[in-house]
Amino acid sequence: MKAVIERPVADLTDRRPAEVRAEELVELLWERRHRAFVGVPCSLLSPMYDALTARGADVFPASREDLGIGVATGLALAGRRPVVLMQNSGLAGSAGALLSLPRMYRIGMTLVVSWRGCGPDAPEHVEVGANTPELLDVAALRWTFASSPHEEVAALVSGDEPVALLVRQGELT
Amino acid sequence: MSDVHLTCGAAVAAVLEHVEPRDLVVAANGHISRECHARRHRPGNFYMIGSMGLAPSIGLGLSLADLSRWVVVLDGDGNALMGLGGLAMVGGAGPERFLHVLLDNGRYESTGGQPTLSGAVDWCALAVATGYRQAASVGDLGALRDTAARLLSSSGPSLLHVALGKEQAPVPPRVSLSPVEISANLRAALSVGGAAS
Repeated sequence: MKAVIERPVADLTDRRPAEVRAEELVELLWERRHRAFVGVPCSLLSPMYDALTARGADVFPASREDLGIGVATGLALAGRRPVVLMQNSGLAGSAGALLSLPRMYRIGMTLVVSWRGCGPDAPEHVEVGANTPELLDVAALRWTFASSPHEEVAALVSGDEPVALLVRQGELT
Repeated sequence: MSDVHLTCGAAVAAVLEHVEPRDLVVAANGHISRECHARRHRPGNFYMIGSMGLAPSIGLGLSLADLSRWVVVLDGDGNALMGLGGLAMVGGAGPERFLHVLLDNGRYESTGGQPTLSGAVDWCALAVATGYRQAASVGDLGALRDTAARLLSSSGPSLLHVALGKEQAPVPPRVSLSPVEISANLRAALSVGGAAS
C-alpha cells in the first residue's frame, strides 16, 4: 500500500485545497454547452447535484460508472457535451470503457471525479485514494482540480478526448 | 426452440431490412459488428470494436439526445450479461423508439465458442422486470421479420430475443473502418438532414 503519494506536485494531498462553488463550476460547464449529466454519486459531489437540480437539470443515474461512459459516448456522438460524475472508486472499472470507447473513437467527455482517500479517510477509500493519480494515468485521462483557474478548466474540457476534473474533500462547496 | 438455420448473419440482415434512413444502429463487438457491416453498411451504424457490454448504454445515449429517432441495438448474449445493469438504465429512461435485439447463440463466438450463462436467463422476463415495455423471443426467420416489424412500429423500449440456431456460417471479415471513421460517419449522418441511410 502506498502510504504517501511521492510526486513533486505541490498540493496533491493538500489538507485544505482551494475551493470552488458548485454553482460556479456548473455555470462554467453549462455556458460551454456541457449540459448532459450522467453518473454515480459521491457525497463529495452532492453540492454539484444540488446545483444542477436548482437549474432544473438531472443527472441520469448510471447503474455502474462504465455504463455511464457508454451513455456519455452516445450523447457525445449525437453532438452533446456530456459530463460523467463518479467517485474515484469507479475509475478503475471505467478505464476499460474509457480506453476502448471515447479515447479510441476520439469522443470528448468531461468526468467529474471525487478523490476520496486523498487525505485521511474511511478505510475503504485508502487504497483507491493512494492510487488515484496512477488510475487516472491508466485511464489515459488528462486532468486538473475542479478548483483550478477557470481558464485552465475551460481549456481542458474543450477537446475531443475524455478528461477529468478532480474534487477533493472540502473542494466543492 | 430455434431454427437450426437461423444464423447471426441472417438474423442481423432480417432486422436491418426494417431499419429506415433516419434510424441509428449500434452493433456490439465481435461477429455482430462484422455481420452488421457486411450485410448492410450505412453511416448511421456505430460498430463497436471493444467495450463489450456497453451497446445498450451507447444506444441509450444516442436516444436521449434525440427521442424522435429510432435506435436499434444489435447485442449479443455475452455482451448483455456483461452489461446487465444497462437494462435497468434503458428501462428506467424508457425511450419509446428503442429496440434492443439480443442475438443469443449461448457462446463467446470470437474467442473460440466458450459457453455463456445465457441458458440460465429468461431474457424477456428480465427485460420487462427492468422496465422495458415489450419483450419477445423468436427462433425462426419468419417470426423474426414479423416481430421486428411489429416492435419497430410500436412503443418500446423493446427487447427482441433471438435464439440463434446451431449452424455455423463463415465469419465476415473485421470491420474495415477505423474507430475515428466510424464516429465521423455517425456524426456526419446526424448532421446532414437527419438521414443516417
